[in-house]
Amino acid sequence: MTLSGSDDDLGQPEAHSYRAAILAFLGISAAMLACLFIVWFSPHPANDAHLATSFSHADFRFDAAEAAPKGGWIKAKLPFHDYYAAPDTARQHGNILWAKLTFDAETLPGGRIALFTDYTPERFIVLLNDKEIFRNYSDPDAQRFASFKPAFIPIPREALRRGENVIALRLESDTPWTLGLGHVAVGDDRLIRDKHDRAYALQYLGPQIVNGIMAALTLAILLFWFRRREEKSFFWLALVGIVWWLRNLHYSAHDPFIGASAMWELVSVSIFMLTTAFLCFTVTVLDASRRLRWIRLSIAGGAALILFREVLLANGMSDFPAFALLAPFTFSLSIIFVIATIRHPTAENMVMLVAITIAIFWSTHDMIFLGNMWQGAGFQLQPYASVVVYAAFAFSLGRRMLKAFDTTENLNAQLEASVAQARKELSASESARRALEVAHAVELERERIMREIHDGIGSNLVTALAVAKKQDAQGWTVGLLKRSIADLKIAIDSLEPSDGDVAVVLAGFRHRTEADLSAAGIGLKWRVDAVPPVRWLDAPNTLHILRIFQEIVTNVIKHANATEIEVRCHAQQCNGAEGVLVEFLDNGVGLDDIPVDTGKGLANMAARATALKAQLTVKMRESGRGAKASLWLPFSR
Amino acid sequence: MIRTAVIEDDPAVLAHLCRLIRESGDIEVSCSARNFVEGTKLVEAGDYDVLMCDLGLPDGSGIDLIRKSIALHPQSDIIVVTMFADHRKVLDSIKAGARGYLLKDENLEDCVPGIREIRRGGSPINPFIARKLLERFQPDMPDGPMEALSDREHDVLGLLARGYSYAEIATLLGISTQTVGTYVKRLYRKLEVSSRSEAVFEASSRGLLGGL
Repeated sequence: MTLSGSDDDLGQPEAHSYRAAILAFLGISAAMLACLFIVWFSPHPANDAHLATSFSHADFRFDAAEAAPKGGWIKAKLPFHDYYAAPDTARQHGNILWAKLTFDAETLPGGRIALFTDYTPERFIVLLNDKEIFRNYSDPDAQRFASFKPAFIPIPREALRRGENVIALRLESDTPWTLGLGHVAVGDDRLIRDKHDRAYALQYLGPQIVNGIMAALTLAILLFWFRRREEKSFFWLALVGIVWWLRNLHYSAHDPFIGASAMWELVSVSIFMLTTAFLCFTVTVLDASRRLRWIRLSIAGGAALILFREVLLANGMSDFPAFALLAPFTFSLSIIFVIATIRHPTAENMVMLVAITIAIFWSTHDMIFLGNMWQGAGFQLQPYASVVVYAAFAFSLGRRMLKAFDTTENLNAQLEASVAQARKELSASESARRALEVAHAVELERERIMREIHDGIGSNLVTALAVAKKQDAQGWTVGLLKRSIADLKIAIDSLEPSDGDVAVVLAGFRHRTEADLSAAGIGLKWRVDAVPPVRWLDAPNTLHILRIFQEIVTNVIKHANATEIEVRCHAQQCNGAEGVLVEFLDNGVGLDDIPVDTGKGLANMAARATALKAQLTVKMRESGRGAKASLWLPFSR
Repeated sequence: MIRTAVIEDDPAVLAHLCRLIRESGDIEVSCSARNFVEGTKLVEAGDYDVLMCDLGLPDGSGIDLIRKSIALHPQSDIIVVTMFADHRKVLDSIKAGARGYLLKDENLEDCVPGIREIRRGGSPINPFIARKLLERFQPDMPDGPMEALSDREHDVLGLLARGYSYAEIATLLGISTQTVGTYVKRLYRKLEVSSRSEAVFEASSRGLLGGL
């Protein structure tokens, strides 16, 4: 079984459920976006100026000193992340950055006060008026990793002095890339705590939860792929999941066993791997032509970009161009999905397109946010995009799987039906074959008996008759021999298969008796219709019928003094039952002059008719001239 | 004069037949044989218009002699001489090319009108044979190529199987008795042809006639 996006042949009810699936997905996506907008545009407590001071700028200086530098500060906007201009300066100062914020104590409200910042590097110390009030580490050699964990630092009121106060932060990192400072606010404890909790939930706890979901989904996809290795799209989706999970692992893994620098490298490089895996998944799942070529091209492109970034870094240059070059990758990705959705507007393709679009918008948001050009949601949306995209893709693959299963089940049902049909036909043909075998065996046996009688008794009788005639024997000898031959013929004829056709039996009878009738000067009028078969008519019953006919005709020849006999045969109802009526009508003397010995013959005929479950009547014709013998045979007994 | 050859192993029957033929006036016995070997020579000589042939010869099958005669002298007519219930054998000899049959019982006298009839182009038939022909020519018979019957031929065969005589059929269908006989002969011919092509079909499907 292969999954392919190209041949979707949906029935009406299925199309209905797909529409529902699209609507559900769009609804969920819209709800998620709405939540984000509510968060973005909800009144920021920090704006409440008389309760808290939010700093728009701070003074910065790269300096490895243990105490805050006395001068050389440079004023810069917050948040401060100078990824692309500062790394060399940062490295020269052991990746240590000092930040200085000045505020007037008079502007602060009464009661408890605290400091909040939404971004710090791995290690930091907070000094208030040159006195340390907080530090987030005890061992400076611990390789902690920056993780967008916001900081909440209570400020002891007794450490404040009247008028101007200075808060200095010693920010220390293992790489220049994580060095920086986010938004900073000082003010009423409750307000600052709210700010902190909000940031904690959205930019730190949320991504951890989402990454957990990613891990579960990835594991499921991976397990599925292990069971069905031929489903390559599941492999690529699992790879996308693993890379994306690694990329967001820093939210929860604060002490990476590979070290902070390596972790940072992994996070940086993962975006290239992610894009590559994504492209491979896309061409596989959309069943693109020349898939293998595209996969190779994607991997080569991803590897080239990673190499390019390393070259840039090794030459002390910014790695921004390498990331910028990812744009065409992402662009082609979205174009592929647009084309696929236009060509095959299936639920799966639409859901994937929507998810991709959301991911691209959110990534753009993050770039603007990290570039400090717009605060947007105030935190990175990328971790959330991961689960949206991943869930959409897993959903699409799942739908496709289900559809494939449906098809397989349908196919199975069809196969089962045709097997049942074939079995039925086989058993029918088997019973037909058996019936044929039985018929053949009966025919063989009939032949054997006939041959015996024919070649033995029959041949002898014929020879005897010839001899008798030649020697001019007494008339009764010849007559006896002739009758014997006639009896034998009728016995043998009864073995002839007739398929229950009474007309055929009558025809055979005529063939045997016509010579005798014409010798007696009796003409024959033949009115035999084609009649439906009498199914129960086997050889013994045929013999009964032939003997009855023989008796009737013999009586006519012997006693009726008739010149004509009419034989009729047609289908006729008798007492509501369907059957065949055979009639012998003569123009002789009728029944009054029948001699006594005929009574025995009539009794014989009646007994045979009873055995046949047939109706036999012998009576005068309505015209008054001649007799009528009728035999009615039912079609079924 | 119609020249008739008789092949018959029973001397009494042979003598009877020869006497009946000679007494007819318009038919003569040109030659006779009493076994297969003599019969073969007789057929090869071919000095006859009508061949009367017994099927059960002591040293061979009359069917083979009929085939030989058909091959060598297709213009000659063949009448099978048989016992009264040998319908299958009659059918087999019709397939081989015979066009008439004579029952070897009290009706031997029928041989003279039978010979005259067959020379006029007619053919005798009985209901048993008619019925077997009907079975053979059923359109859904699966055994090999079988030429279909025309509607008229089918009607004639149906009436014959129900016991109607040539004259009665002629009246019922509004044709001459002669024509009914011709129909029967044509039916026999179809059976012979189809039997022959069946044999070829069977042989070729068994690969015996490789080049065919």
